[in-house]
Amino acid sequence: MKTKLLVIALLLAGLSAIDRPSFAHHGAAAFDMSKPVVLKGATVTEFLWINPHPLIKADFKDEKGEVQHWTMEMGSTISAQLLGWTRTTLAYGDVVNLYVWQAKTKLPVGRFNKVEFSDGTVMRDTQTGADDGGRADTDVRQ
Amino acid sequence: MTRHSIVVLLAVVAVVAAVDGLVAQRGRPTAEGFVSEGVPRMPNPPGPAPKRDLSGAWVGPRGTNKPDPVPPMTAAGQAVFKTRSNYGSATRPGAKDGEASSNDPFITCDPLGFPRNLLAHAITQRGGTLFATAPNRIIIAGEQQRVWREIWMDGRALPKAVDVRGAPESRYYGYSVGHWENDTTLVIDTTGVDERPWLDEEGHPRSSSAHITERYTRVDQYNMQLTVTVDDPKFYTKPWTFMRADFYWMKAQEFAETLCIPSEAIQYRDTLAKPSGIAIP
Amino acid sequence: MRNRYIGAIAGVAGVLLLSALAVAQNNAQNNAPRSPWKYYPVDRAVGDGGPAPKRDLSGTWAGPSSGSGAPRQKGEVVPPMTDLGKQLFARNKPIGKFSPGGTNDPHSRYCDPFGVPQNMTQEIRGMTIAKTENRTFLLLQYMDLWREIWTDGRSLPATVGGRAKDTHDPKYNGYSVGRWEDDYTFVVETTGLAPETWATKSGYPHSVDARVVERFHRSTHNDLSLNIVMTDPKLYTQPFNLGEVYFRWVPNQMLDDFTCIPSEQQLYLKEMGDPAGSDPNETNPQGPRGGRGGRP
Repeated sequence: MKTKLLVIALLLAGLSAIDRPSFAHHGAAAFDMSKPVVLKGATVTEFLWINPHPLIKADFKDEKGEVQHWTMEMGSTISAQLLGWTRTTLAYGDVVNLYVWQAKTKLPVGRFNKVEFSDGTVMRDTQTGADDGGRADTDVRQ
Repeated sequence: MTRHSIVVLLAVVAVVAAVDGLVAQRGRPTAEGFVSEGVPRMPNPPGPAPKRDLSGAWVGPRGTNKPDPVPPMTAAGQAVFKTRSNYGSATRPGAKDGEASSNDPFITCDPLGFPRNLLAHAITQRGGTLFATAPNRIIIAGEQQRVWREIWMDGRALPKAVDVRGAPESRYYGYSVGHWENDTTLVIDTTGVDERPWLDEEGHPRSSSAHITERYTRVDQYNMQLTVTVDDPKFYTKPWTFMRADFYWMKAQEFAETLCIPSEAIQYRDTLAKPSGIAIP
Repeated sequence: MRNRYIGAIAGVAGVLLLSALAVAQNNAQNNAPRSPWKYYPVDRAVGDGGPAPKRDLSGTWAGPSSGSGAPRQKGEVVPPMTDLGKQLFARNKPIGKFSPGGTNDPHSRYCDPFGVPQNMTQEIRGMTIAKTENRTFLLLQYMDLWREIWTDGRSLPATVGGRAKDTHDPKYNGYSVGRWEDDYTFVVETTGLAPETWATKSGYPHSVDARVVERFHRSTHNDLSLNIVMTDPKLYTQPFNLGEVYFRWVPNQMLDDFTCIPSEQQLYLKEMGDPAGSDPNETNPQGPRGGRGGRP
């Protein structure tokens, strides 16, 4: 019985967590928040720890074997730090799976969602790091 | 007035840099009631210096700066210095477009950083410095760019390293501790500065491991002297006195709002500097 | 229906995974040696720390979105605008709607200073308050900027802007005077604000004659609140409540650096902001304006 209540409680918590992505400051308008583009086995070429948004640059080889050069932004350095990000979390040469909300311009740019490292670790964005595009930092943000 | 003066400032700062040494010697007569041009004298003669108290606003270095020459650099220091093209060179008459273009980060308002912010980067040489207190700290607020620094007075040690795991990150105005050497001299030690800003107008470098020492001596109620030494073995073959300057009590105790406005700086660069052949990237 | 539940489970899984990660991070931080020179959000002030000292706000405070646990910031409540107000507002393209690629917010495009009052509602994650005999200083973490508030009883300047002989120049941070309303409430009045700045991130304007009243209230040793109201009859028919900002005392009194570097801003716009474009007609709800307290 307890387990059943727990499951229900978790499901309810999950339902309420399904929010429209909320970009109070920046605006989600420029990005397609319906589903992320997955860059499997991408190679990081640069990680710029700057403001207003750190930039992750990565090369991704598509099915045709062509290399796409991607640039994606994430939440500010000072917010990202609350989730454990540092300027060396990503570095040149890292091979990772990158999830990104692509810009509606269809250029290889977008808003970072999450990264999966080869050891299974996942690091997320602040504002759009949840799998549905919502915030992933509510635990620590306030 | 201040924002418009940025345009004027950029246009003639090269001239100021070139004749910096000459201005003090030219001996333009100082009007009665002024310590130097534009700096009003207090009506009464100064009393003795209060003990362990610099609080208030001071005007300096007022063209009085007498630094030692920059010593020879190490190979690492030279390598960084080579990458920099200062504004003075870029705007010298005859400088070729593209060959001598300046990459001074302050042109588009990147932070001056410490200790360049102590050099009054203003045509008037009337930059100012202000001392206030917060718990266990002395606060130094500069007129230049309205930036503040905090000087910890609780006896703590400076960080031994920066930018490594577990250590703080290097930052534009560094990390500072201070103590009173006697009742009128405050000594401040700073380290951990971000390496991007220039040390001075010429573009000399300084490393994040440099130790920069300020010595503020309150001579009397209205006069203060500042000596700044730089000890940076990574980039220089020996320490030297970077700054020796006099400060005077500011009568009105209120600084102008001296802010570099990036949009204005970019507009200046694109609508005036570039078409005029002052080559700036 | 079924997809919704799968989505719910995915959402829960995401939350649980993140919580585990946050706990792991916290544990790692808890076990690592602390540097006195860094800010540690896990080291939050506990409780009220005792009664507030009288007439004393000095020290280092952590604001919204700093991880300090301060109560959520309350957002602006916009009053009706005059015709001139509407005209000026219509010219502004806030970043929330227009994205970096389409905004004309001078801070978002250039790192131009926010000015007062926006620098007290945006990026106000950290602030140190210091003083001298005749002034109180607000030392903002963001941009390393300081504001001075005269407490010597002087009045605000009568005229700012315009061409009269004795007028004062407008300033990004205006001219401020302050006084204690009671032993725990410090009231600051500011005028002479350079009209280039936006009063809010959402693009509401202000004139040089706007008067901003900030009410700082220290309810306990560890709690500070700030209420901001702007009166600007040229542009708004009633006073404009810009919201409430809440701060908590920082136990080790240290803040990390956080600033806007113009060259980095330009790099960001060139590589990311402008290529990503702008879609002001997107109708996706974007969350309550200002309610989340500062730039996430």
